[in-house]
Amino acid sequence: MTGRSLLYEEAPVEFDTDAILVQDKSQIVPSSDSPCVNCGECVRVCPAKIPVNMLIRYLENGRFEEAAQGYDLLSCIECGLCTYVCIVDIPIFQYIMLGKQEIARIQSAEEAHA
Amino acid sequence: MLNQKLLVGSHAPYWHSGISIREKSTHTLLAALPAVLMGIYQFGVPALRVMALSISCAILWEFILNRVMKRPLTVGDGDAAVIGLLFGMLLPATAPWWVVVLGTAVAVTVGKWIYGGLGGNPLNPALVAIATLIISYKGIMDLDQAYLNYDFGFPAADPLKAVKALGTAAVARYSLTGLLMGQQVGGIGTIFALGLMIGGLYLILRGFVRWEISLSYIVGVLVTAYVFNLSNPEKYAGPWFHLLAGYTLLGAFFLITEYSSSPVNLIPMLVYGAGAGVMTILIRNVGGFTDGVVFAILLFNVANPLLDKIRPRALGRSN
Repeated sequence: MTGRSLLYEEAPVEFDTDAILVQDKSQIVPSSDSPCVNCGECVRVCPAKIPVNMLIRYLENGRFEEAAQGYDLLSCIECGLCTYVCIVDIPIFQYIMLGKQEIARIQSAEEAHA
Repeated sequence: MLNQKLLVGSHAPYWHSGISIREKSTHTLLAALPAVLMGIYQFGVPALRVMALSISCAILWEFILNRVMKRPLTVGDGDAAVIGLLFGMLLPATAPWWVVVLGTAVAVTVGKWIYGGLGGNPLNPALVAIATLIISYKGIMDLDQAYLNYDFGFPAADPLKAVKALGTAAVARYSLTGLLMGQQVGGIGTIFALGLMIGGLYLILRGFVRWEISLSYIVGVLVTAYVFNLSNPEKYAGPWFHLLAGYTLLGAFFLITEYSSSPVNLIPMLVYGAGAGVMTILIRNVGGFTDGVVFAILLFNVANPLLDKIRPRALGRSN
C-alpha cells in the first residue's frame, strides 16, 4: 500500500526493501480525474481522522497552504487507505504527497529568504 | 546506466478495493426492483411506460449533455439511469410523456450537470425535478386526480391528503398491513413499503448507503409523528401510518442518502437525517404540502455543507 514503483529495470534492492510486489496489468486500477462524489469512504477509513473529502477538493485545485492550515494535510500518516477505498478512483495519496512536497518546498524557500 | 529506458511508474497504493460508481448504480437499480415491480403490478402498463421512458430519457439527456458540454461520456457509470429510476418511482403512473421528458431534463441538467456532473450537485437531482413538477403542474402530481379512472380493491384516496383534510377518521380503513404490502396509491415505486425496506436494507448491508442517515430519518419521522398524534389524535395520524404512507421509505433509503447532497461525518449525518424527518412531518401536519418528504430533504440538502463542519479533530491538531 505504501512504497515506490520501479522507474528503471536495473533498480537495485536496497537495505530497507521489505518486499517486492509484482502485478499483472489487469490488477492495476487506473486513476481518474473525476471530482469527489462525497461518499465518505475515505473519511471513515482514515486512521488520522482527516476530512479527506474536503482535503481532496483543496488539493485537486492546488490550494496546498489552505489544505495544510484548514484541512489537516500534515496530519496524514501516508497509509494509502483513502485511495484504496475511493469509489471514483481519485489518486488521493498522490495528491497528498504532492501537497506535502509543495509545502516543504515553500517552507524551505521561506527559510532561505528569511 | 546511460542507455536505460525510464518507465512510467504509478504512485502508491498499488491496490484498489474494486468499488466503482457503476457497481453502486447496478445495486441501486436491483434494490429498487421489488418496489417498481409492485408498482407495475398495481398500476399496469402505464407504470411500465413511465418507468421505461424515465430511465431511457435520463440516459439520453445525459448523453446529449455530455456531447454539448464536450465532456467524455459518463453514461456508463449508471448514475443517469439511477436518477431516471428514482424520478420515475416518484411519479404517478398516469404521468404524461412530456412530463417525464421535461422532468428528466430538469433532473439531469439543473440537478446534476450545471454543477459539473457527478459529485458536484448540492441537491438530489430527482428531487429537484419532482419539486419543480409539484409546484408547476399540481394537477398531474395530484394523486387523487391521477388515479381517478382506476378501480382498485383497496381504499384509493391519497392517504396523506385525506388525513390532512379530514383527520384520522378518514384513514381508519387503511390497514397498516395494506400500506405495507402495496395497497395504497402513490408514486410508482413508493407504494410497496416492504419492498422498499428490503431494498434499502440490502443497500445498507452491501455498504452503498449510509445507515446512520436512513435510521435517523426514520426515527425523526416516527418520533415527530408520535408527538403530534399524542397532542391531537383526531387530527394527526400515528407514526406507523406516516412511515408507510407517501414517499417516506423511498426518501429514507434512496433519496436522502444520495452521496453529494448528504454529510459524511457521524454527528452531521444524525442531525441531517433527524432534521429532515422532523421537517417531513412538520410539512405534512402543519405545512402547505400533502407530502413533505421532497421539500424536507431538499431543505436539509442545503444545510448539508454547514452540518458537515462538525467533525472530529485530526491527529496532531490542537485547535
